[in-house]
Amino acid sequence: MKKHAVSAADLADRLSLPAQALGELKLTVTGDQQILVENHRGLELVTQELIELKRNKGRLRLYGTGLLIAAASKAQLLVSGKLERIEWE
Amino acid sequence: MGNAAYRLGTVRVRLRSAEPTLLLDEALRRGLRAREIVSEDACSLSLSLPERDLPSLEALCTARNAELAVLRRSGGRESLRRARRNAALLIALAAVALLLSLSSLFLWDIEAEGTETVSRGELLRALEECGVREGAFWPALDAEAVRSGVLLRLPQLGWMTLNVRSSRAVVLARDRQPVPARLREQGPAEIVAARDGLIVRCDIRSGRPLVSPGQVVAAGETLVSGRLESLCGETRLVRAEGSFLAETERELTAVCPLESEVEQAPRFAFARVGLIAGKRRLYFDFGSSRTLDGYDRIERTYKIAIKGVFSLPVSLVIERWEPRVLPSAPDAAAERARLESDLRALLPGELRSAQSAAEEKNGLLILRLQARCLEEIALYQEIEREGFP
Repeated sequence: MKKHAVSAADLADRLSLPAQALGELKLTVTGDQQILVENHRGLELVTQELIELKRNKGRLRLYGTGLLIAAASKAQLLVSGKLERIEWE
Repeated sequence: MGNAAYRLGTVRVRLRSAEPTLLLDEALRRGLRAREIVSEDACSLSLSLPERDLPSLEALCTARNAELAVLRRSGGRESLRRARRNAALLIALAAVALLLSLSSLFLWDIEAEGTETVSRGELLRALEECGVREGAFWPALDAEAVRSGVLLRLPQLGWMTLNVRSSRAVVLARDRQPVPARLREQGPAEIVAARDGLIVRCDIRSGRPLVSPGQVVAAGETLVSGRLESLCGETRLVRAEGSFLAETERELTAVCPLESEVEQAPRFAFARVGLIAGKRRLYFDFGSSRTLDGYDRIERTYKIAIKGVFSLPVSLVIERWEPRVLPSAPDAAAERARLESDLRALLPGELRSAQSAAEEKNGLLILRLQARCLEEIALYQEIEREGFP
Protein backbone atom coordinates (compact mmCIF):
# COMPACT_ATOMS: atom_id res chain seq x y z
CA MET A 1 0.00 0.00 0.00
CA LYS A 2 1.40 3.26 -1.06
CA LYS A 3 1.58 6.02 1.56
CA HIS A 4 0.86 9.59 0.56
CA ALA A 5 2.41 12.39 2.58
CA VAL A 6 -0.29 14.97 3.10
CA SER A 7 0.62 18.36 4.46
CA ALA A 8 -1.59 20.21 6.89
CA ALA A 9 -2.22 22.78 4.19
CA ASP A 10 -3.36 20.12 1.71
CA LEU A 11 -5.57 18.51 4.30
CA ALA A 12 -7.11 21.80 5.26
CA ASP A 13 -7.71 22.52 1.61
CA ARG A 14 -9.40 19.18 1.05
CA LEU A 15 -11.53 19.60 4.14
CA SER A 16 -12.27 23.26 3.34
CA LEU A 17 -10.88 24.30 6.71
CA PRO A 18 -8.63 27.26 7.55
CA ALA A 19 -5.04 26.08 7.64
CA GLN A 20 -4.41 27.45 11.13
CA ALA A 21 -7.17 25.22 12.42
CA LEU A 22 -4.79 22.34 11.78
CA GLY A 23 -1.89 24.05 13.48
CA GLU A 24 -0.32 25.85 10.58
CA LEU A 25 1.56 29.03 11.42
CA LYS A 26 -0.36 32.23 10.88
CA LEU A 27 1.37 35.59 10.51
CA THR A 28 -0.26 38.99 10.67
CA VAL A 29 2.19 41.65 9.53
CA THR A 30 1.47 45.33 10.16
CA GLY A 31 3.80 47.43 8.04
CA ASP A 32 7.40 46.73 8.96
CA GLN A 33 6.95 47.47 12.66
CA GLN A 34 4.88 44.68 14.04
CA ILE A 35 4.16 41.04 13.38
CA LEU A 36 1.78 38.73 15.17
CA VAL A 37 2.71 35.06 15.06
CA GLU A 38 0.06 32.49 15.97
CA ASN A 39 0.38 28.75 16.35
CA HIS A 40 4.12 28.76 16.82
CA ARG A 41 5.68 25.72 18.38
CA GLY A 42 8.26 27.40 20.54
CA LEU A 43 11.07 29.90 20.72
CA GLU A 44 14.47 28.96 19.51
CA LEU A 45 16.41 32.20 19.71
CA VAL A 46 15.70 35.73 20.81
CA THR A 47 18.09 38.55 20.06
CA GLN A 48 17.54 42.12 18.99
CA GLU A 49 18.41 41.20 15.40
CA LEU A 50 16.85 37.78 15.07
CA ILE A 51 13.90 35.94 16.52
CA GLU A 52 13.71 32.27 15.59
CA LEU A 53 10.58 30.24 16.09
CA LYS A 54 9.69 26.60 15.66
CA ARG A 55 6.71 25.63 13.57
CA ASN A 56 5.13 22.34 12.61
CA LYS A 57 7.82 21.58 10.12
CA GLY A 58 10.85 23.77 10.13
CA ARG A 59 11.53 27.17 11.48
CA LEU A 60 10.57 30.79 10.98
CA ARG A 61 13.18 33.49 11.28
CA LEU A 62 12.36 37.15 11.72
CA TYR A 63 15.25 39.47 10.94
CA GLY A 64 15.37 43.11 11.84
CA THR A 65 16.82 45.64 14.25
CA GLY A 66 15.72 46.46 17.76
CA LEU A 67 13.43 43.46 17.83
CA LEU A 68 11.56 42.69 20.99
CA ILE A 69 8.70 40.44 21.87
CA ALA A 70 6.02 42.84 22.95
CA ALA A 71 3.79 40.05 24.23
CA ALA A 72 4.12 36.30 24.40
CA SER A 73 1.98 33.34 25.35
CA LYS A 74 1.98 29.63 24.65
CA ALA A 75 0.68 30.02 21.06
CA GLN A 76 1.07 33.69 20.21
CA LEU A 77 3.89 36.13 19.85
CA LEU A 78 3.71 39.82 19.08
CA VAL A 79 7.04 41.03 17.77
CA SER A 80 7.87 44.71 17.52
CA GLY A 81 10.83 46.49 16.05
CA LYS A 82 12.16 47.31 12.63
CA LEU A 83 11.32 44.18 10.62
CA GLU A 84 13.55 43.59 7.63
CA ARG A 85 13.10 40.03 6.49
CA ILE A 86 11.04 36.90 7.13
CA GLU A 87 12.64 33.61 6.36
CA TRP A 88 11.00 30.18 6.21
CA GLU A 89 12.89 26.99 6.58
CA MET B 1 -3.44 39.33 25.49
CA GLY B 2 -4.76 39.24 29.04
CA ASN B 3 -4.29 42.81 30.26
CA ALA B 4 -6.32 42.25 33.43
CA ALA B 5 -3.63 40.02 34.91
CA TYR B 6 -1.03 42.75 34.36
CA ARG B 7 -3.21 45.43 35.95
CA LEU B 8 -3.26 43.49 39.20
CA GLY B 9 0.51 43.73 39.34
CA THR B 10 3.41 43.52 36.95
CA VAL B 11 6.95 42.51 37.67
CA ARG B 12 9.98 43.13 35.48
CA VAL B 13 12.62 40.41 35.77
CA ARG B 14 15.95 39.45 34.26
CA LEU B 15 16.61 35.84 33.31
CA ARG B 16 20.20 34.70 33.20
CA SER B 17 21.16 31.26 31.99
CA ALA B 18 23.17 29.54 29.30
CA GLU B 19 20.05 29.28 27.09
CA PRO B 20 17.63 32.00 28.24
CA THR B 21 15.44 31.63 25.12
CA LEU B 22 14.81 27.94 25.81
CA LEU B 23 13.98 28.74 29.40
CA LEU B 24 11.53 31.39 28.24
CA ASP B 25 10.03 28.99 25.75
CA GLU B 26 9.52 26.39 28.44
CA ALA B 27 7.89 29.00 30.64
CA LEU B 28 5.52 29.99 27.84
CA ARG B 29 4.65 26.36 27.18
CA ARG B 30 3.77 26.03 30.86
CA GLY B 31 1.18 28.75 30.36
CA LEU B 32 3.09 31.78 31.65
CA ARG B 33 2.58 35.06 29.82
CA ALA B 34 5.24 37.64 29.21
CA ARG B 35 5.64 41.11 27.71
CA GLU B 36 8.38 43.33 26.49
CA ILE B 37 10.88 40.54 26.11
CA VAL B 38 14.21 42.08 25.26
CA SER B 39 17.46 40.27 24.70
CA GLU B 40 20.14 41.98 26.73
CA ASP B 41 22.96 39.69 25.73
CA ALA B 42 23.50 36.08 24.78
CA CYS B 43 22.86 34.90 28.32
CA SER B 44 20.16 37.19 29.57
CA LEU B 45 16.67 38.33 28.76
CA SER B 46 14.54 40.85 30.52
CA LEU B 47 10.79 40.58 30.49
CA SER B 48 7.64 41.67 32.25
CA LEU B 49 5.09 39.22 33.53
CA PRO B 50 2.02 39.24 35.75
CA GLU B 51 3.06 39.19 39.38
CA ARG B 52 1.01 36.10 40.05
CA ASP B 53 3.12 34.17 37.48
CA LEU B 54 6.35 35.05 39.23
CA PRO B 55 6.38 32.06 41.65
CA SER B 56 6.01 29.64 38.69
CA LEU B 57 8.90 31.30 36.88
CA GLU B 58 11.00 31.27 40.03
CA ALA B 59 10.33 27.55 40.44
CA LEU B 60 11.27 26.92 36.83
CA CYS B 61 14.48 28.93 37.15
CA THR B 62 15.43 27.04 40.29
CA ALA B 63 14.80 23.73 38.53
CA ARG B 64 16.85 24.78 35.47
CA ASN B 65 19.61 26.32 37.52
CA ALA B 66 18.94 29.76 36.06
CA GLU B 67 19.24 33.09 37.74
CA LEU B 68 16.18 35.27 38.16
CA ALA B 69 16.37 38.87 39.37
CA VAL B 70 13.40 41.13 40.01
CA LEU B 71 14.10 44.55 38.51
CA ARG B 72 10.90 46.44 39.22
CA ARG B 73 7.39 46.00 40.48
CA SER B 74 4.42 48.05 39.40
CA GLY B 75 0.66 47.89 39.08
CA GLY B 76 -2.30 47.51 41.41
CA ARG B 77 -0.93 45.21 44.07
CA GLU B 78 2.31 47.15 44.37
CA SER B 79 0.38 50.41 44.58
CA LEU B 80 -1.78 48.91 47.29
CA ARG B 81 1.30 47.72 49.14
CA ARG B 82 2.80 51.21 48.97
CA ALA B 83 -0.48 52.76 50.04
CA ARG B 84 -0.52 50.47 53.09
CA ARG B 85 3.02 51.53 53.93
CA ASN B 86 1.96 55.15 53.67
CA ALA B 87 -1.35 54.68 55.47
CA ALA B 88 -0.18 56.67 58.46
CA LEU B 89 0.91 59.51 56.21
CA LEU B 90 -2.40 59.45 54.34
CA ILE B 91 -4.35 59.48 57.59
CA ALA B 92 -2.26 62.38 58.85
CA LEU B 93 -2.82 64.30 55.61
CA ALA B 94 -6.54 63.66 55.80
CA ALA B 95 -6.58 64.80 59.43
CA VAL B 96 -4.70 67.99 58.55
CA ALA B 97 -7.08 68.68 55.67
CA LEU B 98 -10.04 68.12 58.00
CA LEU B 99 -8.55 70.37 60.67
CA LEU B 100 -7.84 73.06 58.12
CA SER B 101 -11.37 73.00 56.81
CA LEU B 102 -12.80 73.02 60.36
CA SER B 103 -10.34 75.70 61.42
CA SER B 104 -11.61 78.04 58.74
CA LEU B 105 -14.94 78.16 60.59
CA PHE B 106 -13.34 79.85 63.58
CA LEU B 107 -11.82 83.29 63.90
CA TRP B 108 -8.09 83.21 64.44
CA ASP B 109 -7.12 86.61 63.19
CA ILE B 110 -8.93 89.85 64.00
CA GLU B 111 -7.68 92.85 62.10
CA ALA B 112 -8.94 96.06 63.66
CA GLU B 113 -7.46 99.49 63.44
CA GLY B 114 -8.24 102.12 66.01
CA THR B 115 -9.51 105.55 65.09
CA GLU B 116 -8.49 109.00 66.31
CA THR B 117 -10.75 108.76 69.33
CA VAL B 118 -10.86 105.00 69.94
CA SER B 119 -7.70 102.99 70.45
CA ARG B 120 -7.25 99.54 68.94
CA GLY B 121 -7.39 98.02 72.41
CA GLU B 122 -10.74 99.65 73.20
CA LEU B 123 -12.14 98.50 69.89
CA LEU B 124 -10.93 94.93 70.43
CA ARG B 125 -12.38 94.88 73.95
CA ALA B 126 -15.74 96.07 72.66
CA LEU B 127 -15.62 93.46 69.89
CA GLU B 128 -14.81 90.75 72.41
CA GLU B 129 -17.79 91.77 74.52
CA CYS B 130 -19.91 91.39 71.38
CA GLY B 131 -18.59 87.89 70.71
CA VAL B 132 -15.86 88.68 68.19
CA ARG B 133 -12.87 87.05 69.80
CA GLU B 134 -10.18 84.61 68.75
CA GLY B 135 -11.63 81.14 68.49
CA ALA B 136 -15.21 82.37 67.95
CA PHE B 137 -17.39 80.30 65.62
CA TRP B 138 -17.95 82.97 63.00
CA PRO B 139 -20.99 81.50 61.19
CA ALA B 140 -22.89 82.14 64.43
CA LEU B 141 -21.94 85.83 64.47
CA ASP B 142 -24.49 88.39 63.40
CA ALA B 143 -22.58 91.27 61.83
CA GLU B 144 -25.49 93.65 62.38
CA ALA B 145 -25.74 92.76 66.08
CA VAL B 146 -21.98 93.14 66.49
CA ARG B 147 -22.07 96.53 64.81
CA SER B 148 -24.91 97.75 67.04
CA GLY B 149 -23.21 96.38 70.16
CA VAL B 150 -19.90 98.05 69.41
CA LEU B 151 -21.46 101.40 68.50
CA LEU B 152 -23.46 101.27 71.73
CA ARG B 153 -20.33 100.62 73.76
CA LEU B 154 -18.21 103.16 71.91
CA PRO B 155 -20.37 106.23 71.27
CA GLN B 156 -17.35 107.99 69.77
CA LEU B 157 -17.75 105.77 66.73
CA GLY B 158 -20.17 106.74 64.03
CA TRP B 159 -19.78 103.76 61.72
CA MET B 160 -18.38 100.25 61.92
CA THR B 161 -18.43 97.17 59.76
CA LEU B 162 -17.32 93.59 60.28
CA ASN B 163 -16.19 91.46 57.36
CA VAL B 164 -15.31 87.82 57.89
CA ARG B 165 -13.41 85.84 55.29
CA SER B 166 -12.43 82.33 56.23
CA SER B 167 -10.84 82.56 59.68
CA ARG B 168 -10.01 86.24 59.40
CA ALA B 169 -12.15 89.14 60.55
CA VAL B 170 -11.56 92.65 59.31
CA VAL B 171 -13.13 95.46 61.31
CA LEU B 172 -13.38 98.95 59.90
CA ALA B 173 -14.47 101.82 62.13
CA ARG B 174 -14.90 105.54 61.68
CA ASP B 175 -15.28 108.29 64.23
CA ARG B 176 -18.58 110.05 64.74
CA GLN B 177 -18.58 113.42 63.04
CA PRO B 178 -19.26 116.17 65.62
CA VAL B 179 -22.31 118.30 65.10
CA PRO B 180 -21.23 121.70 63.78
CA ALA B 181 -20.92 124.21 66.59
CA ARG B 182 -23.07 126.84 64.92
CA LEU B 183 -26.02 124.49 64.81
CA ARG B 184 -25.67 123.59 68.48
CA GLU B 185 -25.01 127.03 69.89
CA GLN B 186 -28.20 128.75 68.97
CA GLY B 187 -29.77 129.33 72.38
CA PRO B 188 -29.49 132.59 74.41
CA ALA B 189 -26.24 132.88 76.30
CA GLU B 190 -24.05 135.32 78.12
CA ILE B 191 -20.29 135.53 78.25
CA VAL B 192 -18.51 135.18 81.58
CA ALA B 193 -14.81 135.30 82.43
CA ALA B 194 -13.16 131.93 82.53
CA ARG B 195 -10.23 133.24 84.64
CA ASP B 196 -9.11 136.27 86.59
CA GLY B 197 -7.35 138.72 84.34
CA LEU B 198 -6.82 142.16 82.92
CA ILE B 199 -8.80 142.71 79.75
CA VAL B 200 -6.51 143.83 76.96
CA ARG B 201 -8.78 143.65 73.97
CA CYS B 202 -12.42 142.75 73.35
CA ASP B 203 -14.59 142.24 70.33
CA ILE B 204 -18.31 142.14 71.01
CA ARG B 205 -20.57 141.07 68.18
CA SER B 206 -23.83 140.57 70.06
CA GLY B 207 -25.20 141.29 73.55
CA ARG B 208 -24.75 144.07 76.07
CA PRO B 209 -21.13 144.63 77.16
CA LEU B 210 -20.54 145.03 80.87
CA VAL B 211 -16.77 145.51 80.90
CA SER B 212 -14.22 147.38 78.81
CA PRO B 213 -10.49 147.01 78.01
CA GLY B 214 -8.17 147.91 80.91
CA GLN B 215 -10.59 146.55 83.45
CA VAL B 216 -9.69 143.70 85.80
CA VAL B 217 -12.23 140.90 85.97
CA ALA B 218 -12.63 137.92 88.24
CA ALA B 219 -13.40 134.39 87.15
CA GLY B 220 -17.15 133.92 86.67
CA GLU B 221 -17.85 137.63 86.23
CA THR B 222 -20.27 138.43 83.42
CA LEU B 223 -18.54 140.15 80.55
CA VAL B 224 -21.39 140.40 78.04
CA SER B 225 -25.02 140.09 79.05
CA GLY B 226 -27.54 138.27 76.89
CA ARG B 227 -30.46 140.17 78.37
CA LEU B 228 -31.39 143.20 76.29
CA GLU B 229 -33.96 145.65 77.51
CA SER B 230 -36.12 147.51 75.03
CA LEU B 231 -37.29 151.06 75.42
CA CYS B 232 -40.62 149.70 76.56
CA GLY B 233 -38.95 147.99 79.49
CA GLU B 234 -39.28 144.44 78.16
CA THR B 235 -36.32 142.12 78.46
CA ARG B 236 -35.29 140.11 75.42
CA LEU B 237 -32.84 137.20 75.50
CA VAL B 238 -30.14 137.05 72.84
CA ARG B 239 -27.01 135.02 72.34
CA ALA B 240 -24.06 137.16 73.37
CA GLU B 241 -21.09 136.73 71.08
CA GLY B 242 -17.61 138.09 71.30
CA SER B 243 -14.04 137.46 72.31
CA PHE B 244 -12.02 138.76 75.26
CA LEU B 245 -8.24 138.70 75.29
CA ALA B 246 -6.96 139.15 78.80
CA GLU B 247 -3.66 139.03 80.54
CA THR B 248 -3.78 136.24 83.10
CA GLU B 249 -1.39 134.86 85.65
CA ARG B 250 -0.53 131.20 85.74
CA GLU B 251 1.51 129.21 88.21
CA LEU B 252 2.59 125.69 87.31
CA THR B 253 4.62 123.26 89.40
CA ALA B 254 6.52 120.18 88.31
CA VAL B 255 8.50 117.63 90.27
CA CYS B 256 11.06 115.10 89.16
CA PRO B 257 13.50 112.83 91.01
CA LEU B 258 17.13 113.77 91.07
CA GLU B 259 18.39 110.38 92.20
CA SER B 260 17.98 107.03 90.52
CA GLU B 261 19.41 103.62 91.14
CA VAL B 262 21.80 102.54 88.47
CA GLU B 263 21.96 98.78 88.23
CA GLN B 264 24.54 96.65 86.55
CA ALA B 265 22.90 95.53 83.35
CA PRO B 266 23.03 91.80 82.52
CA ARG B 267 25.68 91.08 79.98
CA PHE B 268 24.16 88.85 77.33
CA ALA B 269 21.14 89.10 75.09
CA PHE B 270 19.27 85.93 74.30
CA ALA B 271 16.27 84.78 72.33
CA ARG B 272 13.58 82.24 72.86
CA VAL B 273 11.01 80.72 70.59
CA GLY B 274 7.46 79.76 71.38
CA LEU B 275 4.01 79.11 70.06
CA ILE B 276 0.88 81.13 70.72
CA ALA B 277 -2.32 79.13 70.56
CA GLY B 278 -5.25 81.45 71.13
CA LYS B 279 -4.16 83.35 74.25
CA ARG B 280 -1.88 80.65 75.59
CA ARG B 281 1.84 80.68 75.09
CA LEU B 282 4.18 77.77 75.02
CA TYR B 283 7.88 78.54 75.04
CA PHE B 284 10.67 76.24 74.05
CA ASP B 285 12.95 77.74 76.64
CA PHE B 286 15.96 75.73 77.59
CA GLY B 287 17.16 78.26 80.16
CA SER B 288 14.00 78.69 82.19
CA SER B 289 15.96 79.25 85.40
CA ARG B 290 17.30 82.49 83.93
CA THR B 291 16.04 85.65 85.62
CA LEU B 292 14.49 88.19 83.26
CA ASP B 293 14.96 91.23 85.49
CA GLY B 294 16.90 93.97 83.78
CA TYR B 295 16.00 92.83 80.28
CA ASP B 296 13.82 94.43 77.65
CA ARG B 297 11.70 92.10 75.56
CA ILE B 298 11.40 92.56 71.80
CA GLU B 299 8.76 90.29 70.41
CA ARG B 300 8.01 89.26 66.86
CA THR B 301 4.95 87.21 66.04
CA TYR B 302 4.48 85.29 62.82
CA LYS B 303 0.98 84.12 62.02
CA ILE B 304 0.78 80.74 60.35
CA ALA B 305 -1.50 81.87 57.60
CA ILE B 306 -2.02 82.63 53.97
CA LYS B 307 -2.30 86.38 54.05
CA GLY B 308 -5.80 87.53 53.26
CA VAL B 309 -7.16 84.01 52.90
CA PHE B 310 -7.06 82.17 56.17
CA SER B 311 -4.99 81.78 59.26
CA LEU B 312 -4.43 79.03 61.79
CA PRO B 313 -4.93 79.46 65.54
CA VAL B 314 -1.21 79.01 66.08
CA SER B 315 1.44 81.72 65.79
CA LEU B 316 5.16 81.46 66.07
CA VAL B 317 6.68 83.94 68.48
CA ILE B 318 10.34 84.87 68.66
CA GLU B 319 11.33 86.87 71.70
CA ARG B 320 14.61 88.65 71.94
CA TRP B 321 15.67 89.73 75.40
CA GLU B 322 18.10 92.62 75.32
CA PRO B 323 19.95 93.92 78.38
CA ARG B 324 18.18 97.07 79.49
CA VAL B 325 20.17 100.23 79.06
CA LEU B 326 19.81 101.89 82.44
CA PRO B 327 19.76 105.68 82.65
CA SER B 328 22.51 107.39 84.52
CA ALA B 329 21.82 109.75 87.42
CA PRO B 330 20.05 112.84 86.05
CA ASP B 331 21.80 116.17 85.80
CA ALA B 332 19.98 118.81 87.91
CA ALA B 333 20.48 121.69 85.45
CA ALA B 334 19.36 119.61 82.51
CA GLU B 335 16.34 118.36 84.41
CA ARG B 336 15.38 121.93 85.35
CA ALA B 337 15.63 123.05 81.72
CA ARG B 338 13.57 120.08 80.62
CA LEU B 339 10.87 120.71 83.22
CA GLU B 340 10.69 124.40 82.39
CA SER B 341 10.37 123.62 78.72
CA ASP B 342 7.60 121.13 79.47
CA LEU B 343 5.74 123.61 81.65
CA ARG B 344 6.00 126.39 79.08
CA ALA B 345 4.48 124.06 76.54
CA LEU B 346 1.46 123.68 78.82
CA LEU B 347 0.76 127.40 79.00
CA PRO B 348 -2.22 128.59 76.95
CA GLY B 349 -2.25 131.55 74.60
CA GLU B 350 0.67 133.87 74.15
CA LEU B 351 3.36 134.01 76.82
CA ARG B 352 4.07 137.57 77.97
CA SER B 353 6.58 136.94 80.72
CA ALA B 354 7.67 134.06 82.92
CA GLN B 355 9.69 133.49 86.07
CA SER B 356 10.78 130.16 87.41
CA ALA B 357 12.12 129.05 90.74
CA ALA B 358 13.60 125.66 91.53
CA GLU B 359 14.39 123.94 94.77
CA GLU B 360 15.77 120.54 95.64
CA LYS B 361 14.07 118.73 98.45
CA ASN B 362 14.33 115.09 99.55
CA GLY B 363 16.03 114.09 96.31
CA LEU B 364 13.34 115.81 94.24
CA LEU B 365 13.64 118.79 91.98
CA ILE B 366 10.62 121.08 92.36
CA LEU B 367 10.15 123.75 89.72
CA ARG B 368 7.59 126.52 89.97
CA LEU B 369 6.82 128.58 86.91
CA GLN B 370 4.91 131.87 87.21
CA ALA B 371 3.81 133.26 83.89
CA ARG B 372 1.71 136.05 82.48
CA CYS B 373 -0.18 134.96 79.41
CA LEU B 374 -2.40 136.65 76.89
CA GLU B 375 -5.33 134.32 76.45
CA GLU B 376 -8.98 134.13 75.52
CA ILE B 377 -11.16 134.16 78.66
CA ALA B 378 -14.64 134.29 77.11
CA LEU B 379 -16.80 131.46 78.38
CA TYR B 380 -20.34 131.00 77.04
CA GLN B 381 -23.01 130.32 79.62
CA GLU B 382 -26.49 129.34 78.50
CA ILE B 383 -29.44 131.39 79.85
CA GLU B 384 -32.59 129.60 80.93
CA ARG B 385 -35.54 130.63 78.78
CA GLU B 386 -38.16 130.26 81.52
CA GLY B 387 -40.37 133.33 81.68
CA PHE B 388 -38.90 134.78 78.50
CA PRO B 389 -40.18 134.62 74.95
